[in-house]
Amino acid sequence: MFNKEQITGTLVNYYATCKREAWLYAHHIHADQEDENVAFGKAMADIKEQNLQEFAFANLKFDKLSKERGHYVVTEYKKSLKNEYAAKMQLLFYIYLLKTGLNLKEVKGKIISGKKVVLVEDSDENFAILEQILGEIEELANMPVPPKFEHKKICDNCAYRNYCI
Amino acid sequence: MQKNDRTHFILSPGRLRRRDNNLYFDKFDEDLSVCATKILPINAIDEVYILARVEIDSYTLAFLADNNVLLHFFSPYGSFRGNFFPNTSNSVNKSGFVLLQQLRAFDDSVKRLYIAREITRAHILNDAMNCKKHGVSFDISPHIAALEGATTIAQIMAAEGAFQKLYYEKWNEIITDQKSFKFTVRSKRPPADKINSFISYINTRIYNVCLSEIYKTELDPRIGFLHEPNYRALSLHLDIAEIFKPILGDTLIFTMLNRREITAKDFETNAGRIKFSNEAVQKIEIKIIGKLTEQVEIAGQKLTWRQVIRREANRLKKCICEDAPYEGFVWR
Repeated sequence: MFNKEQITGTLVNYYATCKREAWLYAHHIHADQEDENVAFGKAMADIKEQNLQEFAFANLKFDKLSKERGHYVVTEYKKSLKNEYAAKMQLLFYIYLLKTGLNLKEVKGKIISGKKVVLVEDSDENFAILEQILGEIEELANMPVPPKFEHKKICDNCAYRNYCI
Repeated sequence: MQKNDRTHFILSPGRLRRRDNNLYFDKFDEDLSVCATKILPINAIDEVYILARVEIDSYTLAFLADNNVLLHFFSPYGSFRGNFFPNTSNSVNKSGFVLLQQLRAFDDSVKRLYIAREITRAHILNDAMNCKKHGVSFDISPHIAALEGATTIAQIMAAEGAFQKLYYEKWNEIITDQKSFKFTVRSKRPPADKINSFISYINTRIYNVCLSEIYKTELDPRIGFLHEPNYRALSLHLDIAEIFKPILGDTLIFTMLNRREITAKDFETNAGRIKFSNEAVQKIEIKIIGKLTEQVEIAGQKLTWRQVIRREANRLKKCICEDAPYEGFVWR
């Protein structure tokens, strides 16, 4: 049984991108670690600010969590903003967990990609969408086999391409 | 896309150590004092073959584990001692689901037979392709028929064995130097003549490469489908190697012998055991690394042969996990 507590930010991001990818990731079937984009992502996660306190909360690891004028900011570094929706959902999920789990009053999200910065703020509406997604992820992960493979445009650059295609 | 082979060989005694976030190798001279230091960029290596006496501490080992770097240890005489296989929470190759599915596929006689048959078919077709490229005619239809008719793993093995025997006989038509490299019969442990010794060396290398590529996927190398896992520690890499031995190994042997890059002089006999001289090993390794890093275009992607092997493991994984059809890789 896969339950909601096992959901991670990456899984939310994958779910918003490709359901099949999310299923595989939930079953610990990982993408090609030598793929250029994966290597890039790993290197980006390594460029955390120095002296930043490692903040481990549940099964989450943030790229960066900082305190600014009374509120907290979760930052996520992305190589590109091609899939902005997925990145936003991932941050929203972090905000949701921090707010509900730690009772923090104000948490904001920041996606940084190159010089571009996208702010993510929560709203009741957003949280309703997220809660629905979390329910769907739980359902998906408990399926015995992944959703059938369909060739989409994004597949050609996916690190799972040698598995799926 | 990756171009170098990401494999490093350590041939002289020394110390492997971590400093900051990088790996350094201090080479020792005869008095065990450091005479040279070299950086091994951690992001550019996947495996290190250690063939000499090397000091390493737990701090370094943990660092290697975090970065998923495999170590292979060999005795000073070149025999295999063991490997260091990272198993941290950072390792990507742990999936209970895939392991269960692999065991189920093995226990399912229909599925096991299907996979074993497909692997053998690819092996036969690749062998036949080698003959064709060298202008040697070989009718494989009876062997394919025997394979199709096989209903047990033993019968598949028998069909493969009968085919392999004829295939090796064809080698005498491909290899020009029949004086030193005439093939009579396949012999192992120890190989009885030069050609057998050459085959054994190359095959061992291909087994190792297949094994390290399997380690990068979630598959468990202990459970093979064609090769019986009961009486050996690892067997899945032998299955995968069946497909790639003709493509990578056999062609390499043919080219090196026919271009006289390896001649009878490259072999040494010691107490009845035939082995390569050190210079010959170097020549062969350069060829192997060159081959593994050579890019080929497969299904619209440019892949190195190493990546092709991993792709094959992934296709097998897909067959195991999702009942997807599997067809062994054939190089045309």
